[in-house]
Formats: sequence, structure tokens, C-alpha cells
Amino acid sequence: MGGGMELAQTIVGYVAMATMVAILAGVFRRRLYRVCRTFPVYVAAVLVADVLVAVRREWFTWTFWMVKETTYAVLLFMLALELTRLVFQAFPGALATARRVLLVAVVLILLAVLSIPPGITIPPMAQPRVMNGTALLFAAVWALILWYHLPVHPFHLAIVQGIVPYLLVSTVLLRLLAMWGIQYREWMGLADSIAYVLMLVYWARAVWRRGDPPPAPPSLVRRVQPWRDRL
Amino acid sequence: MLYLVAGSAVVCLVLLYLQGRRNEANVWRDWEIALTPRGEKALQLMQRRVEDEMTLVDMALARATELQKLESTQQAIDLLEAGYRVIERFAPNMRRLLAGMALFSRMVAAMAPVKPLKPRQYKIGQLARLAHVQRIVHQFLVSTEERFRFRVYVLRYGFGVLMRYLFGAKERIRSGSAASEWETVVAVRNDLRTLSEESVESFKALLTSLAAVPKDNELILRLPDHWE
Repeated sequence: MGGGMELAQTIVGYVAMATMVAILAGVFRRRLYRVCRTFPVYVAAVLVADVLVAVRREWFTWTFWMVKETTYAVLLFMLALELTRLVFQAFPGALATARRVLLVAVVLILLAVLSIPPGITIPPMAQPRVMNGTALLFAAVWALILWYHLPVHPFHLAIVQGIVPYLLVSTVLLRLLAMWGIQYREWMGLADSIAYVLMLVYWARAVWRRGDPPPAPPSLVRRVQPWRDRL
Repeated sequence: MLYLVAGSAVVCLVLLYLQGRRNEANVWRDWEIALTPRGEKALQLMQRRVEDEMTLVDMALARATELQKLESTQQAIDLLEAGYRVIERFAPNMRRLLAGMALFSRMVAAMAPVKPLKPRQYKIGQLARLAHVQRIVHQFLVSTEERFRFRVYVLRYGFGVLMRYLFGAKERIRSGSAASEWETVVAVRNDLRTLSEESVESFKALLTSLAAVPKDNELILRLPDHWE
């Protein structure tokens, strides 16, 4: 790896960590953890893993990578479930559809992972499939929000709007890496990190933004988004 | 896998585009209509306005065909023009109302059942065929929401067809090329009435479904006194 590339990756890595700290600070400052508990846990998990790798490069082993990616996948799935519950809880018709869609998405992810031919190392093959599946999971939640015309908290919307494009970009990069070969690993890694930083910056902006109250009577807001009182 | 990634990217772009078009203030306003008694009254007011406009169009077209029979051709054409101007304003309103109904049908928890359209009631061939298609598809759709939405889409499309027919007939009558075009005007008047009646029926089904959603004042009535 060239010195320039290494420097670029280090800079992007530190920018990502600083942005994650800013996000977590914003989440606690604005008390947004009360309306989405999994999100700060996910950001904190990514931050801890990044800090560990930055402090001790030798810790970045195959096992570490496996544990890290599995944790992220589980947390993202929990995040999708929590967002679904929060956004759809006041709308029984939409909630029923959302449950069905989530079930189908989970089954599709499982099938995609299980359909990897025997004899192939599963984790590198499975990762793009799980990522693409998770992107589709969030995209499905987003599509249902649009279809059912549901009012959404800007924080929840920002999470979905940030994660869907990033996961798709990431999947495309992994796919390109598989097609073009391992020699482009650094470039793809840098591109992925930049895409991740862009998502983090978008989230940081959404977290720190002082939102206006919804343009609706308080009784309606309480009914449609009962968890808003926690803020 | 590559196709899946490409498909996902397209889905993402479509979602971003739709999100860009979405207005959060409008979303809240629509839920206010769906969930508060004030909103229900606003919907009924809108429906009455549309019905009034429909009566105006009907009167203008009826009078125009009567005058044509009495051979007051110029007066008949003037009235037809006036009727067309009203329908030009009325049809987009009606189409917007129907689009709104399709949207509200997604917002209710359960939709009241609706009947399929009756093809025999339509005089214009294209509308009769459309009603046939609607009738067939209606049987294949599973949920009442889907049936309602499809019915509303067909009605909405039907108003567009009517506009085109009336515009064509009006232009041909004005150029004096075909006196038989008055039959088209009679057919348009008939189908306009039928489409409006069917729209009102859909609207009633929607109101029934909205009525089943507990409104804010009812909610307050069911809550204990010390509730904040």
C-alpha cells in the first residue's frame, strides 16, 4: 500500500471517529436516545471497533472482523425493527404490512446466505448479501413510510435516508472488488470509508439540528407519535 | 447478484425522488383530516363543492343539447363552450379528490367494501371497456383496500377520458364538420353523471371507513378525568 493511500485512509478513519463522537454527543444532548435506543448502541459499537483498530493495528484479525461484522448486522437488524415499531405503532394497517414485509426480507436474506455454494469461504461471500439484504430491509421500511404517507420524526427519517444509500454503495463496492480483483482493495476500502463518513456527517447534521415541532395539533401528535413526549 | 445490486440502486433512487417530492406539512395535514372530526367536515365540504360543480356542468351540457335540437346552433355552441370551461376546472378537482381518496384509503385501518363498476351504464365505448376491465380485476384483488384503490384509479382515468372526448367533440362542432358530434356530448353528459355517482359512492365508503377510526374527541371521552 502506498504512503499516500495509507495517509488518506488514516485521515478518513479519524474524521469518521470524530463524527461518531459528535453524533453520540448530539444524541445525548438532544435526548434522541429516548426515541431510538439501538442507534446510539450501533454508532458506539462502530466507534469502539474503529478505536481498537486505530490503537492496536494487530488486533485487526479475521476473528475480530467476523465478530465486528456480525455485531453490526445484528444491530442494524435491531435498528430496523425498532424503527418499524416506532414509526408504525399508531397505524395498525401499515404495521401489519410492515411486519409481513420484514418477515419476507429476513427470509430473503437467509436464503441469500444459505444459497452460497458449498466449499466457498462463507463470510466474504455472505457479507455483501447480508448488507444488500439489510439495505433492502431499510428501503422497505422507507417505501412503506412513503406508501402509507406516515408522519416521521426527522431523526428516524435521517437514519433511514442515510443508511440505505450507504449500504447500497458499500454493496456495489464489494461487488466491484470481487469482479476486478484484490489489487483494488485499498481503493475500494477508501471509497467505502468516504461513503461511510458522508453518511455519518449527514447523521451528525440531523442529530444536532434543532427541529421544529410538527405542524399539527398536540393531541394528534400525541396520538400518532406517542413516544415524542419522552423528548 | 449484480442484477440485485442494480435493482437496489434503482429502488434507492426512486425512494430518494419520492422523498424529495414529499412535504411533511402536507402529511400532517392529511392525518389531521383522517383522524379529527374537523378534517372529516373539510372532506365533506370538498365533496359538496365538487357536486355543485358537477350540477353546473350537467345543466350547461343539457341546455346546450336542448338548444341544438331547437336549431339555435350558435347559442348551443356557446353553452357547450361554457360547460367545457366548467368541466375544465371541475375534472382536475375531481381527479385530485379521487387521488386524495386513494391516499386516504391507505391511511385507514380497514376499508369498507365497494361494488365494481357497471359497464352497461357507460355510453362511451372506451369507458365501458374500462369498466369491464375494472370488473374483472376487482374479482382478482384480495383486500378491500386494493379493490377500493383500483376502483378510484379507474374513475380517475375515466374523467381524463371524458375530458378528451368532450374537447374533441366541442372542436369538431365548432368547426361545423360533424353535427352528429352532439351525440358524443349527450354520451359525455351521461358518463360524467355516472362517473360522478360512482365517485360519490367511493367517497361514502371512504367516509364510512374513516368514521370507524376513533376520532380525537371520542378518544378524550374514553379517557379518565385525570388524564393529561
